[in-house]
Amino acid sequence: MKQASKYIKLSFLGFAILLLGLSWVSFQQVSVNLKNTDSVEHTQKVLLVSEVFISNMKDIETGQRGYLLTRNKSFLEPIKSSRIEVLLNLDTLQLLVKDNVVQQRSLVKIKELSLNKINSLTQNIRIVEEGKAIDMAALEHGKKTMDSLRARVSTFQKNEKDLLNIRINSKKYGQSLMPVYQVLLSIASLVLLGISFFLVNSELKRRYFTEKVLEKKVYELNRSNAELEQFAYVASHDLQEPLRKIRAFSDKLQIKQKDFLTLDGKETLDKIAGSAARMQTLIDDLLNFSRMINHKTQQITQVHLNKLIEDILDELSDEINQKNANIDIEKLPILRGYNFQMKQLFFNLINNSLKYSLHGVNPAISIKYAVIKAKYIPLVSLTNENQLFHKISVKDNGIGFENQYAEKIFVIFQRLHNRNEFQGNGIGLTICRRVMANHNGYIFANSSPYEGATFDIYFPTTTA
Amino acid sequence: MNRKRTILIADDDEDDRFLVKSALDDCQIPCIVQYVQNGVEVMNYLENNHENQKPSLILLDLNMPKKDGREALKEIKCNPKLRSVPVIILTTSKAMEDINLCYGLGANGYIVKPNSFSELADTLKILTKFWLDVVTLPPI
Repeated sequence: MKQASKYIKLSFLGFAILLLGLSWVSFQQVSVNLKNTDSVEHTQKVLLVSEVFISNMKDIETGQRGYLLTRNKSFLEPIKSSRIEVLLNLDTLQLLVKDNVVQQRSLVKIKELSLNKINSLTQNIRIVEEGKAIDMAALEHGKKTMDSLRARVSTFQKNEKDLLNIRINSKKYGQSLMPVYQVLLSIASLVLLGISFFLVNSELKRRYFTEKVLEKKVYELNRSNAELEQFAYVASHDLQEPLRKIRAFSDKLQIKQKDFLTLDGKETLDKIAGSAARMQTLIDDLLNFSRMINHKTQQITQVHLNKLIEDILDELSDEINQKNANIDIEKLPILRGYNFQMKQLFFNLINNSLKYSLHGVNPAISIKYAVIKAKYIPLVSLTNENQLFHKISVKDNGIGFENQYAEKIFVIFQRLHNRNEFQGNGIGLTICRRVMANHNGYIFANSSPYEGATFDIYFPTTTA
Repeated sequence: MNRKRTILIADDDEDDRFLVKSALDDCQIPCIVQYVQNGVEVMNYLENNHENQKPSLILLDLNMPKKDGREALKEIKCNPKLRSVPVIILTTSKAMEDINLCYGLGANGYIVKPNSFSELADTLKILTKFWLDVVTLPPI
């Protein structure tokens, strides 16, 4: 099951990673598109401004030619305005290509040439204004400057265009791969999703099946349990009938035939009667125990433990006085549970402590209380280690027992002593354990010979 | 009309009938002892065959075949003609439900079958003495 859930986790993790990849690819695509649009716009702007620049230069050139031919001052007007424009255009271009060293250099050259051109042009105009003749060489130089300026600008524009193409092409290459990635990632995601679905589905099916099997087992268990309870009840009930008759008939024989019976016959009848009486108590115990198992018919109430134990001590007062027992009880909690069963539990424990006392020693019984976590309960491992339990310890100074019998003493009809040493049927502690099971709790014993015994009982703090 | 001093024992168990009979013999109270084995026979005895001979006491077992003691008790105590016949339950059942049920239905007493013969004899002695000689019952 762990393996399966590991695979499910892995496939979902892979699916998540693929989805992230898909988003990243899409994001890249969008941002590349945006960048391309930006660079196209940028290039367009550069081209436009350089176009405007060259046209301004042309205006200046045309203005100069017009003036030189006509001496009409109105031709000088556009030169002034265009000159300002030209400088502005150059500044704008400089800003636009500031991230491109080659273009910047070429722009510096263009600027130099255009300033040069404007200077020589202004000089020509001044010469004409002073009424002198223009040197043809200067005009020739101006033309050459203008030509080389145009060539420069067109190279500048070509560079910009090439740059744009390179940029777009390189991105186009990347971009052309993007859809492939997207499709591949999508397919991989789908495949992983399919695998995840398959894994989850098969795991679900498996669990559903296990659940069904478990349900069936629980049903069977409940049924066999009910049958067993029924069996214990019926068996002990029906066993009583013939037993009662054995007792009645042997009694009748003893009474009616007492004048004819030999001593041996009387003794034998006594033994029959004694055995039958013992059998009777065993059956009674079994019957009581089977009633205890079937605890569903009883009512859960608040059980005031201190009060309950006081009642028990009242019932045992003869024994307590006779043995001069000292019983020390801490403040105990009020629990929810079956009052009758709790009484049986504490009665049996206290009664045992009184019964199995050391000869010539006053019995001392102490009942202590604490709240502990589940992890401190020995021999029990609960999923929730921190669940709180009421721990009640009943400790005595009696004969105790070898600790190896600490579990055996809870088994029905198991005894550690002969009947002539101590009375009892070996059902008291079995009932105690059953009571604890009915309350979702635990009971454990601890002892060593002649050093007393301790019985620790644990009730869950939220008892059913 | 005088009642016949008859005791009707209803018990399906032969041994128990024998034990009760021996115990009653020991009581030395003059009476007739009649036996039936189930509730159907109890009702037949009371309604058909013995119209004028109502028993002075019925010792009724609870668990019997065909018709058990509970049903028979109910029929007796619901019948105005039979209601005054004393019915003592003599059973092995110690169950509180049975005890409550029987007194609820109008049983005149509930006795758990004693384990020893001497106890049974003592019990029946007191019982027959009380119901046959001490109490006054309405005439039938």
